[in-house]
Amino acid sequence: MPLLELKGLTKYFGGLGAVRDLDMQVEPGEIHGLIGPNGAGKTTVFNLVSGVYSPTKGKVFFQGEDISGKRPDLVARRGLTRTFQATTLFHNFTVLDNVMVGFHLHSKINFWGALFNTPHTRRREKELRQKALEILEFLGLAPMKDEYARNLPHGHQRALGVAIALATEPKLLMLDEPVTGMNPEETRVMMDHISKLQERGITLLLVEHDMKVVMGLCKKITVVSFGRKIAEGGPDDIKKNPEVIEAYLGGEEHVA
Amino acid sequence: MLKKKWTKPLGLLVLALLLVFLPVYVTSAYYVHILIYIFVLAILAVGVRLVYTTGMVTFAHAAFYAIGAYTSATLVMRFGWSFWVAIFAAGVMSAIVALAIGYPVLRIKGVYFFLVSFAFGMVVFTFFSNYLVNVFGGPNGIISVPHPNSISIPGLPTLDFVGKIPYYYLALVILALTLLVMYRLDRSRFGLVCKSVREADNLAETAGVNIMQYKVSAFVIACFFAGVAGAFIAHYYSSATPDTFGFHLSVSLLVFMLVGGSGSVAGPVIGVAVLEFLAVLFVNVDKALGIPPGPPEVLLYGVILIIFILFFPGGLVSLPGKVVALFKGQPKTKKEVGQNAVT
Ligand SMILES: Nc1ncnc2c1ncn2[C@@H]1O[C@H](COP(=O)(O)OP(=O)(O)OP(=O)(O)O)[C@@H](O)[C@H]1O
Ligand SMILES: [Mg+2]
Repeated sequence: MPLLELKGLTKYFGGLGAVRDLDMQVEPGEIHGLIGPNGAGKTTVFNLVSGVYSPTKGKVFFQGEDISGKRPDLVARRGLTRTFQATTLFHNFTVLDNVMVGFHLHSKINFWGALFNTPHTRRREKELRQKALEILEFLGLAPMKDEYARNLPHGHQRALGVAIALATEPKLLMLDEPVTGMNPEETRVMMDHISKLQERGITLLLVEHDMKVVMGLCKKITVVSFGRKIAEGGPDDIKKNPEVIEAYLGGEEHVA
Repeated sequence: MLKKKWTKPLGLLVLALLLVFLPVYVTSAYYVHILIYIFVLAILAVGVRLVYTTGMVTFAHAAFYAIGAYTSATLVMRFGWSFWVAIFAAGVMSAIVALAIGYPVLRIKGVYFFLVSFAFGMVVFTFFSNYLVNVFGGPNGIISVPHPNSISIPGLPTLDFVGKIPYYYLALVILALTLLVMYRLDRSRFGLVCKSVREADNLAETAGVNIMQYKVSAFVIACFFAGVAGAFIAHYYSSATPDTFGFHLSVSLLVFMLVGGSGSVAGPVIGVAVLEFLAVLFVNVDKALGIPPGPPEVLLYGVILIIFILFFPGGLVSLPGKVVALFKGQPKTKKEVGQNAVT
């Protein structure tokens, strides 16, 4: 059974078909690429899957369960989360507190426990802080744990976005252009992190314009253009596919 | 290090002792009244701030204060309830109304929520002024609300509610409990999650936060305390009239929060204390100069508000840190809004 399955997924914004009749399957354990020219509908797919938008038509199945149009927090509860294309953080929180929010689903601290600061609460907060530090360590953010998120350099901010997502303990993590604005060294480090996540058993759906990253990480790639799937396959098939070349060249022509 | 750790609790202890013994020295009924009113306003202002931690700016707080006042007055006068039960019931009533309107209304974002909360305030005001006149007394409100019945706390002399002093202590106790709850919430995971909703609600949602649950909870808790404060004031004033809970109060509460600082529980309390003392000062100056009170204070409030929003977005509480930074020549990039080390 695929971990994530999209069936005829369609989203219209007024007359604009941002995603049209998209079928796609993400298998457990893989790093699946989702690429396409600007405005192809990649982010809209993320928004449909994570529950930001309800589909106009079609369905989203996660672990065989229909999650179409379910609220983002309910989707996250099932083990599916995402990062954002535009850097989205709790900017006025410390790096550590950003990750602490990520543990929301697993804190096991209820309102009264929080209010009365019970021994259980204190013990849990300590454990969570420890776990948060492990995640920060993994992403190379531990040295700046007490810094405010807004003061981090761009590359670290992107990494922190991933750290928050990891704290939710996802089965499927969708990354929207994780290396945008990163220099080659930062990009290499992030690629390394992504493969390590796969080794940890997290399935990944990756949207990225940097083809070196996509080709280097993904065994399977889905290509969309104007909301429709135009190709699917391994990196080598995709590189050779005339329709894909056409879509990208056509896009560039359009821009130029 | 140890020194720093103890300055805060010690300061609070001194302040608490000062407030407990203040009535011994302040014998003027007028000033005791001012202090009582400051306590009540502080209870309301920290509630407005709790709602604000989830990113919502409410203009309806005076309405929940009113609901508490009318509820308690009605329960005591019509149904013969004890004040000590009614004051709690008043909080619960405000909380229930907050829960009922919270779910539809807190979904609305930004300036629209602000407008809808304003409209709700108007609805409540109009309701108490014009409807069920035989119960709520119309524009004149409910008059002759009785004093709380005397209570005897073991170990203390029986407390009879004559004069202002017992009210002073009752308000002080309610304020202390409110602040305790607010402080604990602020420092806890609950507070952290509330603030995460304000910071980036889309991100909070992907982290599994049910944002409506947090917005509504914060709103309901704040309104509970507003209801309790309302019950207190009705029995203290011996009346509940619509004008006590008018729109200008909701505005003032926001001003208190913004001037004091919304980054901590202490901020709105300091805002209330400073601006109310300033108001008293102005009344005295006006008296000395023989000008009728009114417009100058309103003008001054406006000017103070603009200055604070433009130049001191962290409010009064952020000033000491800024002054220290100025002298040490440090860049003042740190602290202000999100000091949420979860303890
Ligand atoms: N909320 C919205 N309302 C209206 N139109 C939208 C909305 N979100 C996206 N669109 C439109 O849908 C189309 C697909 O947008 P989307 O952001 O999904 O593209 P993308 O593939 O992520 O592009 P990029 O690579 O530039 O991030 C675009 O034409 C965009 O303008
Ligand atoms: Mg996009």
